[in-house]
Amino acid sequence: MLRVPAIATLVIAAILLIHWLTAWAGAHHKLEAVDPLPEGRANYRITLDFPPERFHQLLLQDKGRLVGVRGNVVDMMDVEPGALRDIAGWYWVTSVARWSGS
Amino acid sequence: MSTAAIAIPTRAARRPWPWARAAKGAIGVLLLLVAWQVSVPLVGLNSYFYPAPSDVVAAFADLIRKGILPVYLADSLLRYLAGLTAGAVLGISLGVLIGLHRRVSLALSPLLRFMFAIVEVAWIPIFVVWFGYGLKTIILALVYVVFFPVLYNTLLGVRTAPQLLVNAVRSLGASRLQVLRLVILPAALPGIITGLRVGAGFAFRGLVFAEIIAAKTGIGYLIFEGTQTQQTARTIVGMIVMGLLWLGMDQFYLRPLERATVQRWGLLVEAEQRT
Amino acid sequence: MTQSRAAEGYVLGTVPFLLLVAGWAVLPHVLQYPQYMLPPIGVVLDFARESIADGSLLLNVLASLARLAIGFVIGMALAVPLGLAIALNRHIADLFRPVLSFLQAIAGIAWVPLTIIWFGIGNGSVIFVIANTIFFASLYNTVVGVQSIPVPLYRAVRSHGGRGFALLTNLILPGALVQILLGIRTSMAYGWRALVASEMIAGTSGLGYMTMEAVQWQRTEVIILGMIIIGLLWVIMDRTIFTPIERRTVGRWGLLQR
Repeated sequence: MLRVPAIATLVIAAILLIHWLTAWAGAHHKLEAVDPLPEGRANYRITLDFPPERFHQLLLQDKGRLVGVRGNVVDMMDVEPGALRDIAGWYWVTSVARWSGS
Repeated sequence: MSTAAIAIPTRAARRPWPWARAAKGAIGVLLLLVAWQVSVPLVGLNSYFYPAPSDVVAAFADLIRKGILPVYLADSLLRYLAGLTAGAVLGISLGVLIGLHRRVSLALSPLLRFMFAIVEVAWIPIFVVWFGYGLKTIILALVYVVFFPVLYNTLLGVRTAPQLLVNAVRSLGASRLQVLRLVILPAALPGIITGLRVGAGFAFRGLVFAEIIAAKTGIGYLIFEGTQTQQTARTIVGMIVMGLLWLGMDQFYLRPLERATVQRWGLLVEAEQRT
Repeated sequence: MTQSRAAEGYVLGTVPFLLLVAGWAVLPHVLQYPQYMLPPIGVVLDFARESIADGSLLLNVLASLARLAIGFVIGMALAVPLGLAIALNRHIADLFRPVLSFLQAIAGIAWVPLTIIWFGIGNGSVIFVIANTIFFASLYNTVVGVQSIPVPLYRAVRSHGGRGFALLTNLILPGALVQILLGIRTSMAYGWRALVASEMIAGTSGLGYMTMEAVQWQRTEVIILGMIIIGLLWVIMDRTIFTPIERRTVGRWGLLQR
């Protein structure tokens, strides 16, 4: 009788695994645009498919300094490489690119 | 006139088409959705007051596309599981400890009953005063909400362990630990499971409540945020997700677990311990 | 329980309360903390006296109880007929069951933001949530109640020529009544929680509102008094109304299908 919870847990684990794998693959793909990844903090331009809502801005603020939002584009400064990888992993992020900062 | 005309589930000879019930249920759902969709132009209010099913579907797609729903869902579930586990562990261990000592259980029962009478939601204000708004308060509230039913029911369960069996096992030379494992815990198990089921239910409602009041993410927050940002369709998405979550949890986890213990230990002591 | 054991229970039972009160009184002298975290007993008692004297406490209590009563009546009035229909007619049951199970899974409190949009802050929202909660609880109990009527009783009544309306009033309603009455205790427990919770979010008066409002002003003594009154009220209601109902129905009809 404990079969049902076990199966349910497996299904959830499988979904999470697939999600994680696609995020990793997607990040890999997006990060090609900024290859090679700078070792320290750098400035980036994050492009979405839609104008970012407060939710997205809050998430991005955790990863670096948000300096500007124009349409679907977010400009950020002082982003660590690890944080950029996280950002690239988010499936709603369309692309990341290096930004001059001006 | 046959008694089969009365819809009591008897072992009647009539075996209707097995899909009939599911089909009728689906028709029921469809009827509701159609009635809802059709009533929107009739009611004539804008989608802030009365979103249509189409608005809700669009909002659902939007929330997923923008990555909001998965994050909120994950946040809510993590909080829920954390609070549930912590509360259950505390409740069970304290319940067993207290239950084993007759005097202590007698002494603490009235206090516990009174504290339980102060409904869980009534503790949120003081938690907010002590811990502020945010994650700590939410999880603490959840722990509290789960702790009490689990403790109370574990206590009851432990106290129903037949003294006869305890004595019998003791006389065969069992150590205290063995008594615990062989007699008391199995006897208490139905009570523990009941407590867990009640606690899980209270915790789910408590989660939504706490998120409405004190959170910045989560399904409860989504329900609240939707009305604040003129996006009532999102609120309804949140409510639907909540309903699905609870149904899923109940069907796939709580009930099977309850059935497993009943089948194994053969008894289910119910409503007395529910409130 | 023998007399001496019961007495022992009472005596022992007061010890934790005494310890708690003693601890509360002593704590300010032992630890340093800002007053708003845990006001001394005196402050709470002062506030209690004040709010009883100027009637505000009574007003809040009555407001809360009134809403509970109205929500209860609405919830029951909708649940019992629908429950009877569902239990008696297989087609209605199959049609409605999935929809209702799903709606039941959406806890009452999740409706509050929506009701605020519809009814605004105040009585409408609170009563809606209470009625919603009690509706689903009582619906379930009504259905179970009808279904627990033993089939031989049906056959007996019908063999005496009873059907239709007579069947309803002589057999089904009294038969289901047991379960409905038994279920009142649990549905009221949920209803009470729904009351406090919705008053906290969407109320303009009442115990829940009073308790939550005090957070803004950091008047913790109000919160503490509110919590105590909420607990006391439930204990009183349970002892004087619901448990006796439960005992009477069992005593009278003898069956206990929980």
